[in-house]
Amino acid sequence: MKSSTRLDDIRIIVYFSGKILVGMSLIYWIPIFTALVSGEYKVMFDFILSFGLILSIGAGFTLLGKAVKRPSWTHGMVTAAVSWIMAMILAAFPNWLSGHYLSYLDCMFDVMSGLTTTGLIMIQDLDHISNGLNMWRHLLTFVGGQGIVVLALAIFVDGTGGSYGFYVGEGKDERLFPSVTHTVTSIWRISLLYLAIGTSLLWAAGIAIGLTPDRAFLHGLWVYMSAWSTGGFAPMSQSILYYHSAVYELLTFLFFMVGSFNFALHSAVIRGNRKELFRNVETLSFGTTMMMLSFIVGWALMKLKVYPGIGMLIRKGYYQLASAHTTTGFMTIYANQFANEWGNVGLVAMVVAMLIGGSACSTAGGFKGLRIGILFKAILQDTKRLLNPASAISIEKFHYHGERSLGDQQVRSAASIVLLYLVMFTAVVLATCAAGYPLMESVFEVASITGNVGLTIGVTSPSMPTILKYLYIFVMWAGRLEFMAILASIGFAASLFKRRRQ
Amino acid sequence: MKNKVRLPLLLLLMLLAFQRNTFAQGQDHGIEKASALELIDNAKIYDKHQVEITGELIGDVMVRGNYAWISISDEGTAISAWIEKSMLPSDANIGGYARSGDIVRLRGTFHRACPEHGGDLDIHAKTLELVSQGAPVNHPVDTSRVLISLTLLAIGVMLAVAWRRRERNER
Repeated sequence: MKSSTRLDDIRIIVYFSGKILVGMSLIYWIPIFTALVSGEYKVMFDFILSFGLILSIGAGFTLLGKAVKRPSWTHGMVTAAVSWIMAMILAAFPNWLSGHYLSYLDCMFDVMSGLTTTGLIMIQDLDHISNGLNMWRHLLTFVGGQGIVVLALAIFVDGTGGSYGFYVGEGKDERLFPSVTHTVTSIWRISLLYLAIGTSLLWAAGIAIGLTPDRAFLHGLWVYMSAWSTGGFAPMSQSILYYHSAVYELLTFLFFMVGSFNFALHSAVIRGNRKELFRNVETLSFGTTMMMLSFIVGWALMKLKVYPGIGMLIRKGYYQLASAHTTTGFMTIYANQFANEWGNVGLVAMVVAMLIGGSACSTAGGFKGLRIGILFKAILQDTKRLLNPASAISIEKFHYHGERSLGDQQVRSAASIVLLYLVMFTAVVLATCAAGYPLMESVFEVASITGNVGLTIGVTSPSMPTILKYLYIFVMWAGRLEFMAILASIGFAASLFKRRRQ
Repeated sequence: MKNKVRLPLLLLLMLLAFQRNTFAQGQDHGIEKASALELIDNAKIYDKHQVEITGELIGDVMVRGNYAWISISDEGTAISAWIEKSMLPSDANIGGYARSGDIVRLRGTFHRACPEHGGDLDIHAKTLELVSQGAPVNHPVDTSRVLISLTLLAIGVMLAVAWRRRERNER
């Protein structure tokens, strides 16, 4: 009886993981089409081969698995964690076939970096890759930002009863509507609406700065997908510096700022509730930390005379800072310039920005502004309790899509996640230092990995130790899924082991 | 008395001459050959120096009025240069997936944080020479890869159809 239940659980997880892989297989047609139009026939067949592989495995899983109408919370959580790993392994196949990587591990690193909207890269000779592969890289980051599970839920709307577990498992816990299906389709609608607007604007800007219309369109589409997803991948190795354009920088700045906002906030603003933008605890928290860190970075860069004028300081300093705080990872300077020119104060401010990150239920990573806001309110409440008479009752309120009273459960949950992030961050900094990298560089790079940012100081490269590559892949995955699905999977695996021993 | 005046004057002249000499050394560096990575890694040292870099033309030529931005890839590291539009022939090969770019030798002023271009790291070109011409790159389609693609595609479609049929029957 026990073993049949265990097998049923595994079969349910296999079924839903297969369904997510089949959902994901559909996006392969976009690079196939791109390669066809660009006359890159070798690349086109690489993607057809990879499509056949993921479709076969996905459909095979659904046939081997067991369909249930209402999967449990644990099934959802474990499926989300497993399908992200499966997606990484399978989506790395076209990268490997391209011949631009030194190993399959490097391909998986790039795919996990894309899906988690991190943006660090292992690819060789990025400036010579095909349009098909470039489309694939940016598509992965766009889909990953919204969530691959969210994608599958949006496609297979007919069979998603009990799907809240999948949704939460992917690091999103904010429902825009009571129904999860309605929520995920809204997330995709919002993203596609912005995609059309953003690509058009960057296309026009691209033509204005001297790109040919076809290149301007592709660059506009790719850069937009990456900006909105706070991803950090760029079509050229020089990232946004390549364009040498204040207009392009301004547009990408606007898009990644908007992309780092909560989907519920987008939904509220689109429905006419603009006040939410200025009252929401997350936007207030983000605004406050951004302002404080801006002063620190500005002071540090001025003190070291890194840029000869205030205009340049704002353009370079605040672009990198905003890119870090929204966990985007776009750069308008070279990685080595951080290490050689910015100084420790500037770098520490960047580390703090990367760790805090953007909004919950957005494409951004990090602790999230909501949790920082809640913890700040909790400290405020505790201070008031200390100062007021013991008989006084202190109720702390915050605005988050309506007035809410601060409860112990919310504080506990926020503190747990922040603590988990910090524990993981510290452990991986130690591992990076142990691998021989200097402390400040290790702290910077690991903050970037933990917050799914993508800025680099030069540690991440194909020549880094293999163990660090595995570790960074794990950190990107855990950071993106916000630990819940991973803890649930560990619990599930432990329960299987326990049952076997009994 | 004369000697007393002469000696300090001589020392002062020597000091001035020495200072002038060191100043001149600080300003006139000649043309320094460097790779793109060396320039970026030692940006403070090379700042405002005349440099020479050799590499492949890649990406796009972004024309801005009488000038243009080009990118030069040197051993996998790309660096941008601001050139007069007329320096680049209209039939220049720009490297990408389908073509290897012209190998060029560029001389110009290196800027760690260019005041003219918003603090960008760049080189303002004075001369641009062609070293060797780029050419189309052939990417032949591998027949065995095509066969595997079509086989996997057929298997995938069959399994997906079988799954959807089972779902429909169960409903």
